[in-house]
Amino acid sequence: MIAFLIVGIGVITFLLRSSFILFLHKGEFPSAVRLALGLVPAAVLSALVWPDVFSKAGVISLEWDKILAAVVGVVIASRTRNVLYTVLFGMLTLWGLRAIGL
Amino acid sequence: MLEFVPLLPGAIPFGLVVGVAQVQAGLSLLESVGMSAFGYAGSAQLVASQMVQGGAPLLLILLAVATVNLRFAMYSAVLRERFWGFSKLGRALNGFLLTDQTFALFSSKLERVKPRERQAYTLGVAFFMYVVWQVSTLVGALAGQTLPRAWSLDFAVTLTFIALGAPAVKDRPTLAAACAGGLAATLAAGLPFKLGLLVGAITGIGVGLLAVCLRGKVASGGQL
Repeated sequence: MIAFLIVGIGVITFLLRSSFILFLHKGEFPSAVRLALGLVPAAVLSALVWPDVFSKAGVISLEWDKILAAVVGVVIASRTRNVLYTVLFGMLTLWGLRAIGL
Repeated sequence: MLEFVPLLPGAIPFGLVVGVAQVQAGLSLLESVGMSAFGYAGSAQLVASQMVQGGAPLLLILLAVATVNLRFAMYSAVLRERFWGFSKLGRALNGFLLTDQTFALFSSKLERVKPRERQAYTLGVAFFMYVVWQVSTLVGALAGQTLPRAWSLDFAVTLTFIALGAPAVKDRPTLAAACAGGLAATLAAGLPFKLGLLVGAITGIGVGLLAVCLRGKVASGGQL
């Protein structure tokens, strides 16, 4: 039931987003927690990206057009922090490499 | 006040991509609108759409959503100091409307806003971005219903995650977390229901913490 899913996503996301702003905004929290939290974006976003780049349908598969386009994406993202440029140049790289038959 | 404008070129294409993806995964227009309105989390919306299409059980989709959105707890922790003096409603609304982009903006620029104006500033920017998202995903959804299955659009999604993730890697522990998390998730990619994502996240955080501990030991001159 998609309706349950939507409500579920809404509630979970709201709770996570508001966790320290609304609910836990008073008091100290241990530096260990803060440390672990600081690692979450890097860990989770990589866990989302790497399988897309290095595997296909659950199996490891090295497709050089995707890998090179991803590398371009990482370089552009690190230098510009701009989503549009990252997507644009990454996709251009992908299409370009595919066009020349990689 | 116009500092949010640079955020738009990131949000709008992302919204379009998410709208298209949701509809192409089988969601109806209304369901797509609902996801964007109540969930308001692009990366989670994408993962959820893929899992719906793959027939995953509800609880596992919610687990994946929680994993993907866990980073918002970190944003929340960082911003709670910046939101000093906000009303309860202001906190709740800001909580609901928090995104990667507003986090980036607020954590750096909010200090320059006068304390009394901060709540209005954050809510103004956040609401605006919310509306932009609703419109972008709606347009994407409408377009997605007519567009043929553009398979290379999937990689645009990946690139968006790269754009969000690259700035998150700033030191050795986060680099370790990223590499370990990415590797683990790739090796576990064969697991059903995106469990590989959870495996990757846990591994990444674990290795990152290890790197922090090792760094601490080296810095204090201790024996490894």
